[in-house]
Amino acid sequence: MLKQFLIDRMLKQKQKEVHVDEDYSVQAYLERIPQYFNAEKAGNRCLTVVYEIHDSGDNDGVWTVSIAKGQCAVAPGEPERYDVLLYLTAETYRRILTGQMEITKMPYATGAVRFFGNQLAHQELNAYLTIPKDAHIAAV
Amino acid sequence: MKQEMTGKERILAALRRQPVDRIPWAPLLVPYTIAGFPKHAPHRVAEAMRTVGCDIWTQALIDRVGIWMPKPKSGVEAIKYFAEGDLVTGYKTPEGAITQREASGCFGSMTIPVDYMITTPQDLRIYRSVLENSFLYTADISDHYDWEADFVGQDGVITDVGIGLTPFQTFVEFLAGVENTYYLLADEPVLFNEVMDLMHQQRLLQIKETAKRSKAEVFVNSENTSWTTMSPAIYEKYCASQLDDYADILHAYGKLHVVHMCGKLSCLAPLIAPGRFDAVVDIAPPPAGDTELWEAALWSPDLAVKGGIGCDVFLSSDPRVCYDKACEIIENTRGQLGVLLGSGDSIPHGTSMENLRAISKAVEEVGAC
Repeated sequence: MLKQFLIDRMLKQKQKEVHVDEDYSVQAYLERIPQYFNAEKAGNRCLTVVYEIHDSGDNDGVWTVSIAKGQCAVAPGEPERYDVLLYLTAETYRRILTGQMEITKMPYATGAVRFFGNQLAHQELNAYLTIPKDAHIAAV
Repeated sequence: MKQEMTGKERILAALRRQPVDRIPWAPLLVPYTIAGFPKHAPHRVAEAMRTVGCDIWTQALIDRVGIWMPKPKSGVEAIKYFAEGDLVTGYKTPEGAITQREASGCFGSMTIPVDYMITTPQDLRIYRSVLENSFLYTADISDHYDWEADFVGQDGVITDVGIGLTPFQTFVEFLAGVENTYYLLADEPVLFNEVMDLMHQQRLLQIKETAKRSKAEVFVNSENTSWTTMSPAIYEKYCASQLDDYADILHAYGKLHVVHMCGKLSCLAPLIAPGRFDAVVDIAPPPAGDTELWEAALWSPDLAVKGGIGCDVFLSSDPRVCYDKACEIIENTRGQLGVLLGSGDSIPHGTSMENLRAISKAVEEVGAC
């Protein structure tokens, strides 16, 4: 019981540390991803993850996060080939950023994110990041 | 004509074998189904179901996470990394390491194990050690449930599938695969049964801790039961009483207990029928299964049943085929309590929205009770 109490307290503390305004910019958050990139974790891996935001007004758009040769970059637009394309609304992406929608099961199981391609590639991208506390997000 | 019920009232009443205004139409529409819809079609499961005219039935691990994790300082550590796009998970222990590898499924289906964690007696010994050194970790994710509940409203139910499978089916489906499970049972029966018992005790605690805090009204064991992977004797020994234990706990907390049995069930029916769970769902006719919904509806006066429309019908190029099958099921179960029209297993990838709308039309036109 004590262990569970401590876990709950730790999770609540973590939830307090994340914050994304409701009128946030998807693009601004995606463009920060290279800052969190951990080349040591990624090794020689090449990975391309596309985010397509729909039905979200000014946040609509397509961005590509690419990992190759120990570098991470974000650019607007969709490439010819990708590992996965995430098709989602800005509201859903905000829930991913804040950790309200943990990325291993919820986006897929609820259909809140439609995955085109290899759905594990999104989790893999997150595995190659080290997100600092002052980013106030849980995942990308 | 009875007063019109909401989707939620209709589904819950049918699961409780109470009268309904019309037959509920609650198939297992999943991301795998949606992956075959046009790109700009609604992709949130609840929204897609609403769009094609279903009563909403979603299956997601929703408001409580409950999993067994290695105790700190026990010498057991969880392993998680990616290898060539596959997810590798497992445990490192003083006796050795065991890992499994999962790959993304095709056509938007779930991730699937491509290398099993437990394939040898030594793996089984290591796994027993992992279980002995684990504690139940639960986390409150009710914010997620609330988000889904706001969206679904009174149009249906959000079921909880976070309670896992029976230990035997967990081995068959995820940890060892069919062949390894039976080899391990044959080669190391004492050890195998010790692991089954240990897992069952842990599952009971997990279900209790989840159920007592959860807002969900319906819990689903995704058993995928089928005589193609187990004999009646195996079902009786490793699944029947275990499922009854889960039912007793869930009922004690006022929950409905539903078991997903999407395989071939005919020769298991005499053992399934006396089960203390409330419903068997996603019952499949041939070719994937071997039981028509109207046959299953006669199994027991205490058991609700859901399913009935097979994969071949869903994939028909003519929506009329779907309409006619729905009418056939409705006519053959008319007057019976506890019948929900649904899919045999999940609705397959490639099913058109028009076919689903045709079934909704049949329900609307001839489904009144």
